[in-house]
Amino acid sequence: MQPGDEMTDALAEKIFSGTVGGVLNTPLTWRQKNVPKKASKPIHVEAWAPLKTDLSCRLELRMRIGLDVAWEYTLLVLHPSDGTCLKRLDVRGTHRDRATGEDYINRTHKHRWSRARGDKDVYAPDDIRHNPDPILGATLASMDEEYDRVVRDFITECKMTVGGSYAWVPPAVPLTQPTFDGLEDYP
Amino acid sequence: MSTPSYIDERLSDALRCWHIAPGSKPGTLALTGRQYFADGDGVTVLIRVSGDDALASDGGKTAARLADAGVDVCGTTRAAAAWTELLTGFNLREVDGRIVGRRPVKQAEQLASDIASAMLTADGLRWMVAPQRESPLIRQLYEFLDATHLHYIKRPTIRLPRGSEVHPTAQVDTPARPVIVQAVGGAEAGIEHALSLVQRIGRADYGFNQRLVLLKGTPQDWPADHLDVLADHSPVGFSAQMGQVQEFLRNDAELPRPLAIGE
Repeated sequence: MQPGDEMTDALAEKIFSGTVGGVLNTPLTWRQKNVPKKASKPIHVEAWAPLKTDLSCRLELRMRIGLDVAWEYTLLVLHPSDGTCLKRLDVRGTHRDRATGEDYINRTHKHRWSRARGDKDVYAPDDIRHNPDPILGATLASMDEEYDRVVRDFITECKMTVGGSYAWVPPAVPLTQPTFDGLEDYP
Repeated sequence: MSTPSYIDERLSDALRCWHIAPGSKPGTLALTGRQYFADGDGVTVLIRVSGDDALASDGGKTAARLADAGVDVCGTTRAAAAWTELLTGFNLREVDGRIVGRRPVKQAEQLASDIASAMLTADGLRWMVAPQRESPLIRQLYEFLDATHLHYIKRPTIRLPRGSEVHPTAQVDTPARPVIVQAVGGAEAGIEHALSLVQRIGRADYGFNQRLVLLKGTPQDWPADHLDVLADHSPVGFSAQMGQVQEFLRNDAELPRPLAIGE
């Protein structure tokens, strides 16, 4: 194995230093994610796109939106060779930082990876342009403008750029089958 | 402080210990801020009123977290059996991958609490994932690659043109090209899996000399017909002849067809 396959603190720092030509230059590719063998009603939609840098290691941008709460979603920079999640932005997510005791309740926060602490280091960013509160009646369609803006802000915060070949692609609204289980429509 | 208009009064009376936010569906509330998974992520319960009942769900978060951890709660696995049993224990069930429950509105607090407890309990099923055991052949391959100082990645993720993924044994970055290696121990089913895999990675633009199936032993240890079909789709090496494998990886030297070796 050589450096680049296994993430190190030095490599992570370099990736987000703004000196390695990091760029998002490909539109996101969306797919529905279901629990295995449960195709009738997807749980979330997920997108990915490669992040190009001058380094040899592969990096990916991923975005995941839960279909039951469209205002809460996640963006992350992944090092797929070893599965390391280098940065994770949870928009309006809930998290408890057990080291500091701070609770983020429906509050946007970021996870930053280090070898010693994994993704346990959490902080509240101030560079993501969005309404901080949960949104009544949020749908994939109504959130579309914010999703696009937050992707760009997230890339900028990672000290990378958005290239000319990138364009926002909205997630397709899944066609769900009706649930006949007791004719109940669970929340 | 007044109750927001989107909250049913009967629920606001019952749910005093939760932080309440609007869900996506009309009338649905997202409850959070009360319980947390071991990794610190918050438990969120979705709840709404239907008639005199409260209906609640985990929004599929638990099953999704388990799927991310490699646990299938819908198949015939031990984890799936445990999943069903523990939901029954909480008097809950699963619909469309979501943990759901229905109780009278006056029990909404208990329902939300039970959904949250079931989420936390079920999340522990991730520890049932057995660590990937490496076969002696795979260990031999990794030791060989370490010894030859060839740069390689264990169990890489290869993305296919239409989005699905495969995880072969290794990706070896040789001086001239990356080579995807699938190691096969003793079973014929392993050959069939390897054949399927090399055909699929061919669709991901890995050329013939960028694939390698490594079989245990010698050509004589395997059915000739299987070897013949496999060799039509990939170079084939044998663990008893690693010198040839090294030449193939380092210098792109052609590996002889297995039948020719065995004859």
